[in-house]
Amino acid sequence: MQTISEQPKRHVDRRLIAARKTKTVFVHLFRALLLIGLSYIVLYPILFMLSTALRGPEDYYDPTVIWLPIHFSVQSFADAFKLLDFWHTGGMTLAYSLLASVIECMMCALTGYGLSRFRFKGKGVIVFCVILTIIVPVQSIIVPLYEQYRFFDFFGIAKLIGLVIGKDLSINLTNSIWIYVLPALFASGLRSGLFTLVFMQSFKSFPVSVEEAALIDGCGNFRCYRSIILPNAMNAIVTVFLFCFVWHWNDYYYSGMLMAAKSTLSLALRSLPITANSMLEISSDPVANAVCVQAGCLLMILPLMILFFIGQKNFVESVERTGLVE
Amino acid sequence: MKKQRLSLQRKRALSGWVFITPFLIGFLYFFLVPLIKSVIYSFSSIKMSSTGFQLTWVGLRNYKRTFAEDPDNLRMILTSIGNVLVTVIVVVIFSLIVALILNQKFPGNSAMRAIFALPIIISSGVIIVLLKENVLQQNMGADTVETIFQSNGVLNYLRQVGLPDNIVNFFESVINNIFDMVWRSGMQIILFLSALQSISPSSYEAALIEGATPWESFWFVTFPMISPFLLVNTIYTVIDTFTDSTNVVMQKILSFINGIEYESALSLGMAYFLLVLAVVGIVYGVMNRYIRDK
Repeated sequence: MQTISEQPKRHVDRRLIAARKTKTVFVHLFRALLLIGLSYIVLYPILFMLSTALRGPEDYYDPTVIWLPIHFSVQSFADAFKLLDFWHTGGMTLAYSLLASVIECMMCALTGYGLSRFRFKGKGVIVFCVILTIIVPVQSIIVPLYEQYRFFDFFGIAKLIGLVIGKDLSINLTNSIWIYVLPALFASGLRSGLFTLVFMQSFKSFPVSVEEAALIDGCGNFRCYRSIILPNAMNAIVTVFLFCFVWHWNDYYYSGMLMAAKSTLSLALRSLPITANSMLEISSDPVANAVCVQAGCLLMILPLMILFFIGQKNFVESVERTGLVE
Repeated sequence: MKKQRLSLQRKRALSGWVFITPFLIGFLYFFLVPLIKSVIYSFSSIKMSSTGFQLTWVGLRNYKRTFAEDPDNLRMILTSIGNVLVTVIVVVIFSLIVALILNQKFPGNSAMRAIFALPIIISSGVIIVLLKENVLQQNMGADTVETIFQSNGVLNYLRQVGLPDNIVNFFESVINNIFDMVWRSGMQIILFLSALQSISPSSYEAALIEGATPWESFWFVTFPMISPFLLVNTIYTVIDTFTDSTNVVMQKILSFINGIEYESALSLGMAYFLLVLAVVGIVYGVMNRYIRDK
């Protein structure tokens, strides 16, 4: 765009060109300053966490220490590691998040495919239902949801059998992996509505003719989905999976209601300030406490950061069509 | 011939239903049933027993107790609407500007994109709560500050220049909340970026040949092309701000539930949900009409 407009024309004054050049320089400078300032805001908490967590006890009240600690120490990481019970809690959280996101990703893709490719009556209503699940905050349905998990009874089946046997068969599912996996199995987990919509949109942009060819060649609907649609939607799948994993890993509202305290990493981290106060000997000191909490935060986001830099392209770049170009 | 086509269509429709069956079951069991129950429960008093909840119908008593006897709750909800509206406007405009800048070609722009996407992975959880709640306020031995970024200097200057107090106050709230704004915009920036990248360069070229200035080509090419995303982003921001776990109403509901005051939690939750629905509906209606007219 600019190259065309900047082509020197003979009758244009030299001064005009020079003025335009200085203008471009200023625009670039302004853009660079703006971006650097904004990225400072974005990075500030991470830098702050790092700087705080790496301080040794000597630096806590030293006013000359602003960003770079003089006495480096990783003691706070060791403390946070121990207090969070990182291997155990983190391992559990990892297992929950991975399993739930894989299942949720699969089921949302299935629903998205059903909604994007097939024509049937009432499809509009169902799309509206998907959107409704995004709009309604989980908080307004959490109490009955809690009851449903606490006395789990799928559409009254257990009660029906119970009438025959004469025993109450409902099970307590709170504080187990099922509160993540079960809704994920039915495409109703954390933010499933959003993921379903993403899949729906990305399947819509995929050319129909390829599928039609496969159907004519005698490929069944499900096979067609599995061996043609899915391999070509890898980008969307990876994106959704990453988001899904991150949201499960970070989730603390939903699990705060349905899981026991400290059973996931985010819950353990939430109560870390209190735990640190009661467990650490040094911690009548609020600064020592804060340092420990910072280290805990860093420990929690470390796996996410690694994941982010691996899958960065998928996070950042739009879902582009791969392989098939018409 | 016609009959066969119909049967094929019916077959397709049937397999469509098969694909969405899991979702339908989940929607019924994990969404619709709890939602209806929520409505019923909010009109009842609840006792927990070993086999489930025991309900007694009490009419509007829960609502009366939550809203009439404790005026704080109502005030909290009303302030939260005001906050949400300001946040939404600022976040959407801000993320559009950042996306426009990031869409340009300059050295290091992919690194910049990664940085601006970073809040998505961190801000959606407990970290931001902890950051806000105890650490940023302590600020390591320095004076306690309320927010991270404050600039009284600029504000005093604006006052001295003679701007009306309203405008200065608006700037003040924007500056004090700039951290919040930037950290909320991650997803919106990415959505706008992907919209911008889907615009074909040839339409800009055509605009340029027709003699459009960059300003005109923004309003007549870029803006119409990304306006559907404007709608999506606005709705997303509204919902995200309303249901954010750092939101005061959300915290209140959580504290009600942790204190086993289910009735209060339910009535507050239902009222809040109706409000969110209304705001989303109004925003959608207004913007949809505006975008269609364009």
